[in-house]
Amino acid sequence: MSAYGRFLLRRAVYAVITFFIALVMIFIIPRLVAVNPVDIIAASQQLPPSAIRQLTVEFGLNKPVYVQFLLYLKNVILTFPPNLGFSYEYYPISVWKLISISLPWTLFLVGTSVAISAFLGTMMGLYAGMNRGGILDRMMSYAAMTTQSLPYFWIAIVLQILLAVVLRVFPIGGAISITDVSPPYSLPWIQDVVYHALLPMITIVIATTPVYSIIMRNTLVDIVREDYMVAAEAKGLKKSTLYNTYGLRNGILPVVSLIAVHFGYVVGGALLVEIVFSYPGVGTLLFNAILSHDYPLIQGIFFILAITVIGANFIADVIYSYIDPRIRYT
Amino acid sequence: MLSTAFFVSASDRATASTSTTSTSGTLTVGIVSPGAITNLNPWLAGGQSAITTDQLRGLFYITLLLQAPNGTLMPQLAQSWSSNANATVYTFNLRPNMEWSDGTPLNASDVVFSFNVLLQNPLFDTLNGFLVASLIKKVTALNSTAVRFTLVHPFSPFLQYAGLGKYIVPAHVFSQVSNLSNYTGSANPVSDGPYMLVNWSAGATVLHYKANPHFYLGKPKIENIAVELLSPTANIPALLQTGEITLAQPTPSQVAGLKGQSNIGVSFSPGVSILSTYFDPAGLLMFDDALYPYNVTLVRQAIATSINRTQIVDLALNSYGTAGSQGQLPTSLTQWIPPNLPNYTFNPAKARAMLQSIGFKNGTNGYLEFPNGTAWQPQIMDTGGSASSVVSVIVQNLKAAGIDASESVVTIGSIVKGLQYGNFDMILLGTSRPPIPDFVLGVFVTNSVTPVGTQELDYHGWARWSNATVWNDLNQARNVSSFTQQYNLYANAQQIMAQQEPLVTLYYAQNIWAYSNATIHGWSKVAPQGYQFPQAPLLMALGVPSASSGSPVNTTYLVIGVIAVLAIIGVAVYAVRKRKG
Repeated sequence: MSAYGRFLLRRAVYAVITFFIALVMIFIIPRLVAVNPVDIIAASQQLPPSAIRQLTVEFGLNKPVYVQFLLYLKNVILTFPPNLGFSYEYYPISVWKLISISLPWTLFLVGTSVAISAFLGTMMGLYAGMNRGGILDRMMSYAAMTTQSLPYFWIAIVLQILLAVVLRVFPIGGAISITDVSPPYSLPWIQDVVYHALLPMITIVIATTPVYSIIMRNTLVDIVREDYMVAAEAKGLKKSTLYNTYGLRNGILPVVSLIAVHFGYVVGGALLVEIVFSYPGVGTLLFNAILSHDYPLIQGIFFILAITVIGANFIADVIYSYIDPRIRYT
Repeated sequence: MLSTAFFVSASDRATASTSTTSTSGTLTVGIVSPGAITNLNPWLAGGQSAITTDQLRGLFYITLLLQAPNGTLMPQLAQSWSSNANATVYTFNLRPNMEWSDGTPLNASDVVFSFNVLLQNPLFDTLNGFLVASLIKKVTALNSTAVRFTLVHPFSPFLQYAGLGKYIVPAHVFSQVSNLSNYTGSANPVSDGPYMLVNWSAGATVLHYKANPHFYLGKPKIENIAVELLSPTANIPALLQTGEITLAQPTPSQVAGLKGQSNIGVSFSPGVSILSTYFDPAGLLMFDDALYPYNVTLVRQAIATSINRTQIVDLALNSYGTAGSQGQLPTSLTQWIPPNLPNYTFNPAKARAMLQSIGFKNGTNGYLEFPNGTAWQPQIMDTGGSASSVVSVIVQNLKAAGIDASESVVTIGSIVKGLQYGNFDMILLGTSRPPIPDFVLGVFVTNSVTPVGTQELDYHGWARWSNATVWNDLNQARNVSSFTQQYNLYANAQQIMAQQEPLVTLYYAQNIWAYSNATIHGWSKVAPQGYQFPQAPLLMALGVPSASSGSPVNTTYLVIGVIAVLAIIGVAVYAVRKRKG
């Protein structure tokens, strides 16, 4: 096997081990609380004992713990879509169904925002690095310091009050207009969805773009002092070619790591932003699940979160090794 | 009955009325929901989402009867009803010539089908509404408009349980569904309610309804209703002020901010409308009645005397509620509450004296100790959040009476475990109960107390309180259909419960609605009676609104804002250039 193959295999094994540990913890932690989910449903709906017994069998809670664990592994690994159980709050709706409804909203909102932030931030960082001490570089430093010192939710609230309540340029919240009756995925519907997502997107972009730009800019500042950059410049390469070809490729490595980290954030939802704007994504689902002590739903969201973070980090490792071949041999 | 107040006037719509795009005929409603609604199966809805689901389904599925806010039964699909003297046979007479929204006749066969589904699927019966399946021996159509229920044994609350608690569904639609358990609803359900749901999909955050031209009372005046599911954290005052929605349920803390708004009306209803009855949100202080010292009646009475229920309503509910009655029944059921029930007026000194009279001693720390000299430090369990604000008042009250109580914030699972095994001192329990005496009085009464430490699955036994007379009174009341006989039995049960005080009813919370009063007309006709969304009497009385299509742009502020942003950027560029230069 080649060195690159061994590298990928090693990373894949790490990912599988991490995933298994996450699975075990997701199974064990709710059971440490010693709460029977049927009891919660029964209490909230005042079920008679006969229904409690029926649900206990249906949930498999009458079986020994090790059997429950094996069934759990079978349900989440060998079943597609994974059987993550029932929500207390929405019984008899499955956890997977609830997540699958919320996830597209979050992927659209936060995924798009992170993509815009990463692109904008990288480009701004590249430009600032190329023009150190220039107006944009200075302004970006001030702006980055300002936005980094402000909490997300505060930016969200201020934008909401200013642009939605006072100026009424954007809607206060939600994902779609209450009076919009256009069919899903039609052009007016898409326009409405984008219109509702703009304000939360602006919030996320304002909050995350400076992180990318600062990292890119600072990395570039170090890179321009490298011998290969000096040699390339001495060779007479144009500044734009020098930075875009040599600088960007080396400077983008920390940005790739950051994008991988932000992927967990994508699936977990920009919790507070979604809450402020009443956006029906995974963040709002998780918030409501926590409020209502809906443990199966919380577990399900963390399960998806674990898969995404582990998967994103694995992909980041692969991309990293592609961008920087030295990593394959370390 | 709790009073309601509406302020309907065609007064100013504060801002930008000229720039509003009119979507005449649409009532926009915001309903707080724990999340998206994924199941509109008429028999299934779980947890907290059940309340939201019922508000959404109640527009297109209705019941045989309707309950007025004062508890009296009113005709809905059934125009009359009767029972035999020993409460074993009930007959509902439907209105003639009714139709489903698709034009199919609505008749007795639909009622028979709806109840037979419950008899064949007992879990459906238990997961929504009242339990009736175990009561019904058979249900038969006498003719196209008369349905007879023959019960297994006498049960006088059957009219309420079956008439208010179960939707009537179209047999011609549901008889075609192969697996009702997996059914999650249709995009365009056939309706017997005032509205028809259109183009629904699971997980939608906005639901659209159209007026049902086949509704038995005629087509409602408002052509469309759009319901948006709001997050529990939604800024309802802002949504109302900007016109994004015209009707919503604000929290008590949000009402204060709405009171100064001339274009926003606020009304109060007793309880939450679920199915065709009201569920009174009540706060109960549960004792473990089998555990010393709470198994001593005088201790329970002393604790009830220690608690200032009015203060709880004022501080924890922002005054949007009423203090609890110690006979358990909500104040909306005036006709069932006997006069001169034992009451426990707030009096900490008296409470302390009561405890001292049975041997409790003053401790060195100023608090009371058990007669054997050991410390008495009861814990009140709750799940935190808004419950904490109630418990903090109780803790202060009890301390003032010499009881060294404290709050214990735990998970809902721990609360359930505590109730099942009897391992608790006191628990703050939030419940919603319909104004049906049998239901409210019998909810925590058992005829056989399970020992502390042994699991009790049946919630009736969670207070671990038993009283043979109350048990017999409630059972006898189920066997008679005369109001006088039932009243006497319920009155006797209330007297005993108020004297024994197995639990303290702390408060009944009010249900609050706020609306844009310039765009909704006709509330004053029905609002004083206490009707609320989505009940047909309210919806049929409402006039055509001129709802805003969204948030009209405030151009003045917008121009000022753009100029301000450009100015800030200009100053920043100038400052940087100057510094660089």
